[in-house]
Amino acid sequence: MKDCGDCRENILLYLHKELSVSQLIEFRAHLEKCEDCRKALEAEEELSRVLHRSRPLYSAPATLRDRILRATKGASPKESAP
Amino acid sequence: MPYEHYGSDATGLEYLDGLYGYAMVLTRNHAEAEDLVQETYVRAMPAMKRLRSESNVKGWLFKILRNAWLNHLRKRRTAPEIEWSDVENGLVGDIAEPSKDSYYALVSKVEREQVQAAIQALPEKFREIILLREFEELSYDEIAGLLDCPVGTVMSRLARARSKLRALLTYTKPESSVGKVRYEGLR
Repeated sequence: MKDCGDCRENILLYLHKELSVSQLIEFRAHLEKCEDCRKALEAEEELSRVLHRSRPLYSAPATLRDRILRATKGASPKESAP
Repeated sequence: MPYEHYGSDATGLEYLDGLYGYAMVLTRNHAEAEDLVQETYVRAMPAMKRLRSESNVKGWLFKILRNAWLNHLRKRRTAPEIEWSDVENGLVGDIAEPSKDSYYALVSKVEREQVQAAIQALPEKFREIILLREFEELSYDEIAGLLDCPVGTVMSRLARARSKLRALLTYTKPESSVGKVRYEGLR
């Protein structure tokens, strides 16, 4: 990792576990010596915590499940699947 | 091997809340979201039993829902109608049930309402990517496939969405002392 710019670009990748092993090693090495980037990471981590505490964002109404089961009752194969 | 989460009666209903949440951030309207989710299952169900065990059922269902939504938008462009949203009318109250402990339940409810309001205040493409990544935990590759865009676009859009969301949450601190929800770290 060359500088703080590279590090900031990788903060979300780090939080979302999208960094490769070599990127992760470089990322952690930079954090150890850079307080500003550590603070930037902490801010993103705090936002993630707030969002995670808010899960699930919405819950489907109880009536929707019954409605779907009624609507799909007797459905026959006609669409290709992955 | 067929998809057997529910044995031979696979329904994909384990994704109901996730699909409803996705529909809510796209439509911002309860009735429209319910119709969209129902349409998704009606389209998907005939093929559900033929899915292989390795199939990405969740991603497939989300794709069907998104395509159905885009179809609705195309129809609206050719046949304009009055649009309204629960959010703008202050009707969004379909908050997920918090824990049973009254104090923590209230704190949880206050915080979730603020997060929900902040997300719904974002532009659609930001609402969508926040929901897909932060709530549904789709990978960057899965989101790119769903949105038909490069992974780089997912990364940059997510960064901008989070930045805007952080700003909104910072300005939406709880007024009541009961809500010890701390946003100071978001600055």
